[in-house]
Amino acid sequence: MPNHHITINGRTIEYEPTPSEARFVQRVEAAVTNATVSEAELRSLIYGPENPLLDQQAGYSFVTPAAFDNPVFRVLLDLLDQKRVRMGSLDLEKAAARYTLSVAEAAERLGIRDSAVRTAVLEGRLPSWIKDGQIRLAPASVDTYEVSRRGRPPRLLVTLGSKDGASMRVRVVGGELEVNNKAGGVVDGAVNSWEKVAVITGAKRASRNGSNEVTYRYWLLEPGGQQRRVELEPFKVVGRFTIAEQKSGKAASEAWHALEQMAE
Amino acid sequence: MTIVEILIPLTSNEGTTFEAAHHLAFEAHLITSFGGYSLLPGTVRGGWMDEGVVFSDESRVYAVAVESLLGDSHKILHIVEIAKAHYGQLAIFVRYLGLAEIL
Repeated sequence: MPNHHITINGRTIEYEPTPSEARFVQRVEAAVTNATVSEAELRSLIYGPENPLLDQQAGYSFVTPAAFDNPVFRVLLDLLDQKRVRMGSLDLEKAAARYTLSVAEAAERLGIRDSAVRTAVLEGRLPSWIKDGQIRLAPASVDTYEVSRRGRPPRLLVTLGSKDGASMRVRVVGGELEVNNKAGGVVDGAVNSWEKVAVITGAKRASRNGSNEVTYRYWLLEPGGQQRRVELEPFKVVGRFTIAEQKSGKAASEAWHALEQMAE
Repeated sequence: MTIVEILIPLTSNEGTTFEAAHHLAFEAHLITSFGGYSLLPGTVRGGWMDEGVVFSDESRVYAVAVESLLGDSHKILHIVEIAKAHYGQLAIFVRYLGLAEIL
């Protein structure tokens, strides 16, 4: 039978402790209500060698991924907050005031789906506060999440080249294209590290006067967002990106050359 | 293996104490980047000066283990960037091998 713990920010944690974990939780609960135990002492207890969740290495009590994912650990941290509320060092009203964004607003700010935000909240990567039954997020934490995503840009898979009147080229800013295969004017590769990627396509077609003309399209991609693709058969760029700029015709060609000049 | 210590303020620049969920989100980044962390007992009190005004603050100290200081420097710089954004700080104090840097 699982236990349930309601946190100061309105979340319910379901947990099934082992006997040693249950004893430790009871000890921490007792320390929360014991006025002779200070906040610092309680923090040292939770992050110290007596906590059965932590790993002892070289004189340090390490929070490992397994401990971090254990709901008992979340309960212990919330008990620490309860102690701080009792001691007057944590003002719940002020803490809650930082949480102003809805899930949809955070998702829009990050360029990801609502469900991805909810998953990050459940995993504790995005702190939240339940207000009137709704999840609210702090703008600073959402920005942090953005910084963490910038650190690991999503991989782009690309097929480039020129064939049958169609062409696609890319310019990678802050990284480079890694070529996996080249055959018949078609290059397959990947971009693993990047800040921006410019893409230009050219489609050759016959004009009314019988001559050939090329129609250009240009996109400037930035990391993050939903899985998307830019393509002109048989060429494509696929990955999680947002489109920062999009141009066609003469403006496309000008944007591409401007970027080339900037890179030089 | 080298232990790197990262000092994180207990309160925001506006004076509001950060709650456990806020620290937990930062700790998730420590887990992702370093595979674990330790929170050292006690806190560190310090002061800093900005445009002639002296500010004092109190920090908690996280310890993470890195295989190589040079090889893992990008991880340290990345977590510092995350800490700056998450805690609304212009700089973060980092200690290792008896040295200290404000990044």
